[in-house]
Amino acid sequence: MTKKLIVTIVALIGIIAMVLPGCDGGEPLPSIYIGSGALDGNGVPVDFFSDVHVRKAFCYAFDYDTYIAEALSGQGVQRGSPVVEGLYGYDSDAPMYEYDLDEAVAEMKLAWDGDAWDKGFKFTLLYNAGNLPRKTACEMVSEKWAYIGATDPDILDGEHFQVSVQALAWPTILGKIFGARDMPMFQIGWMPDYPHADNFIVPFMHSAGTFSYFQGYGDSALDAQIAAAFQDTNPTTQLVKYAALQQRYYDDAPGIVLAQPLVRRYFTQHVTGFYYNPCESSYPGDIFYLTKADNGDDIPYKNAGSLIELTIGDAESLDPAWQYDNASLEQSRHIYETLIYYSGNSTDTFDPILATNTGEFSATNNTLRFTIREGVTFHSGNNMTPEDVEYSFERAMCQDRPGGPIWMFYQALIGEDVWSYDDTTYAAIDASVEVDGQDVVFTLSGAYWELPFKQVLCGGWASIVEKQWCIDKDDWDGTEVGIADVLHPLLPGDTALFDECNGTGPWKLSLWESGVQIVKVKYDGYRAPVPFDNVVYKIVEEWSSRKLSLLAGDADIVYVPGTNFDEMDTEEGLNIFKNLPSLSIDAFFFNMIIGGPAE
Amino acid sequence: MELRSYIIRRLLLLIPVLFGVTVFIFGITMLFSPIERASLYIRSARQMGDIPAIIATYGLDQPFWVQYGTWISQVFHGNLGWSSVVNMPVWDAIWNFLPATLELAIFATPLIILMGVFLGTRAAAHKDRPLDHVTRVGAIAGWSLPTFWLGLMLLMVFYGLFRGLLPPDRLSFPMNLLVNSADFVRYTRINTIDAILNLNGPVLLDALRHLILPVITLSVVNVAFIMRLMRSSMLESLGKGYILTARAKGLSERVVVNKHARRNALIPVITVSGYVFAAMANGVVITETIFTFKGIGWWAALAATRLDIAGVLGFALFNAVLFVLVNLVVDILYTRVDPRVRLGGVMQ
Repeated sequence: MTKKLIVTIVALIGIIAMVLPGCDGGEPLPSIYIGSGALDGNGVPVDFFSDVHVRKAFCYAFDYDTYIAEALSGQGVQRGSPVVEGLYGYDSDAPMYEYDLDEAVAEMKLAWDGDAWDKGFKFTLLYNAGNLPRKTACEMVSEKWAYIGATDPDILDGEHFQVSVQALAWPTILGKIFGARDMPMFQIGWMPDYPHADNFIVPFMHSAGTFSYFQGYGDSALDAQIAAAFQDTNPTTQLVKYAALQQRYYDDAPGIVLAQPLVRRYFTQHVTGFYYNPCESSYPGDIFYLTKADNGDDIPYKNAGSLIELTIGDAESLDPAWQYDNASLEQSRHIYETLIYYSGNSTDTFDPILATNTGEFSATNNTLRFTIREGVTFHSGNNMTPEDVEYSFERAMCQDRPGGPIWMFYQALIGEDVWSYDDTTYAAIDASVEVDGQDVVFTLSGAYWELPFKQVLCGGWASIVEKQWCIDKDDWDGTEVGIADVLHPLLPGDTALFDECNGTGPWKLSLWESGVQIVKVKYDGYRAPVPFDNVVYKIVEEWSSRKLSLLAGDADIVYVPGTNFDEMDTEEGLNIFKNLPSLSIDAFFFNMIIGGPAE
Repeated sequence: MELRSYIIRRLLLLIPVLFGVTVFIFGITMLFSPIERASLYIRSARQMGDIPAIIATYGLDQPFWVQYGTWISQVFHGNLGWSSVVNMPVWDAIWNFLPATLELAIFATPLIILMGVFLGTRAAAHKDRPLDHVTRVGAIAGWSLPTFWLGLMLLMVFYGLFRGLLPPDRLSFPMNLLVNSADFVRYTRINTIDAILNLNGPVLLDALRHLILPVITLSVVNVAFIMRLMRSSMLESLGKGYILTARAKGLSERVVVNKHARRNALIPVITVSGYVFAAMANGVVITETIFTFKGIGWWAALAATRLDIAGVLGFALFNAVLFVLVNLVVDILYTRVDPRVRLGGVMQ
């Protein structure tokens, strides 16, 4: 039996060795989604979408209103470019494509000298499995072009323009977008790091943008136009430049901008005080202003003094310098504080939090000066000092975890060529944040960073930590020599503040059961009354369980997917907030060179 | 064969089994490109531009043997890797989530076995009569029910319709705070056992209340397996000569069935029960997900769907060890229960 077992294992290894493609990690493969690969009616060439008339035809052929009504349950607004309403630089007069099949036909007849219309085309659209809005969008594209072919009197063939639809796992989709680049079109969404037009225009339009680079769109002239807009310190002319860029996106049609989603929030009747800021990464919003009281009998009133949220997705880390996902950033909003934060529902005006002002800018040296509030204590009981503020930012820049958010600090404080610690020096980092008495002074890499950097300061990554406490936890010791011990951590658990917190916020960490829940308890030393004794964040993947828990009063707010909006509207005892504009966008991207440019 | 050498020999088989399992799974995951595996570390669209850096950092573009060799060397140092889906070392993930699954297994397995034995005995004793038909149809109907459907139905009725009567999760919010406080010691992380060890009645009752629905779901679906086996075994046993002798001696039918027939019929059921427990301890994904009873099955499914390779490999190792040990226990148990069977597979 032992011999048979050994032979079986050896055979298995042999099979795997033969099956694996060279056992070397894999090479990009040619696209299997473009049919024949030629404009012969059975496929499309790899540069099919490099013709602007093709792109415009697809933009005109998309039924935006139906998409919003069906895929987003009506919770969306069409936009003409990636710059959505709420972002600084948004142009309400920016043009957008309307659903017009006649225009779509006219544009397609111009494409490829008429060959695209005469010969027809065939390719495959892909979406990430389980994402119903993206599936709907793909099916709409497919159905519209089949309809055009079937109803045109010169064609009368529903398969003349053939777009197949296929689902793939999300990691596979990402692999194709950023690796193989073999999808003719891809769908993906974007949400802001900071609510500024530049944060959306660069990934969508810059030649090195997160998406535009991989779709083969953009050039040096457009890059210069984007930089000129960002670096314009005159708000009036800057807005004109951003309007021009939004016009340019319409003219070039590098993608189909689907919609700016409108989101909803569902509380029980017992929770009031909700206000919405589109930058708020926290699902319940700013819970500091919420109130929970027995407001009726439709839903049982339970767990007085506690706010319980059921959602999907666990935090990745509680280290502010690591956090780049919404679940983690939500925890920072409760445990830590920043120097300033957005005022009310604004995205470009601020209230002082740990600072006593919202930043005094000096054009002499491009400095931004904050006076640090006195009398603030950390959860450890120690007083917050300007040195803690300085340390918080320098610490983040000396940690610089791969794929993290700290590139924003480098860009704003060091220079536009600096994206990581590897691109700069400790001396430059040290000089970018200085203490001056009770003030902390940031030296910006350009005057144009004043507004965007203030927006960056509102993010959880800009939370203030206690220097000595961190050092005692074997975090960065504040010296250049000590950087080597903390630089570029590979795993979330490699940082000292992964699961330990010491902030100045209204709540402090009590328990983190990974994958299960995060419990925070009231910090008695907070400088204002704290509304809840306990704030609980529970991960419940099953929608029915979340819904039933909300209706049973065991949860105060739950995450509701868009596909379940309608069923919640009929329930009694809920406070529902609709039509909340999110600062995100979902779009189709046309791949200008399917399979990527030749090496 | 001597028991000790038999056990050692069986345990040594773990090595090729674990090697084969891990090579196979590692090989399968290598079919995904480095970018696909790097996307695991992406939590939002904003991070997508960092995929090349992530690939370089984690060596995702290294050849198969390099990546596997790195992993194996870490395993020998006691490091099973980091489970990114739950943000903790794989070893910690196993120990963190196993208690919830064990708690379900501890309560569901006896119920499944007892119900299965009882129903199987009754069915066999009343063969081809209405009770037999009803019992078999009922058990098969339960077996045929999709677990997710039954679980959701029970939840909607007993938690939704009866507004919170039998809730999901492992504990209610106040009890959850209590067991995580300094006033409660979590010896095993199995809430019912810990409640007993802490002499805390309210926690015990709350934990039992939260166990009712998931245990019922598991039992209804799985009892048919034991019931059918017991029925077959009983029918075979009832046909033996010593049963005829017992009846001829004038023993009551109840004594004949329960004392003489059932004892011998239990032999295969006992050994299969070991596998039932192992299957439960392996994790019951759907039940754990629907009732928010997060155990090792929930974690393994999450790791698989999100390409948490370290998690998948760690679970595979745990699984392999579990089944090898259960097989060993069952084989030894069989020799104890049936003296005709000897270790090494020889039957006298």
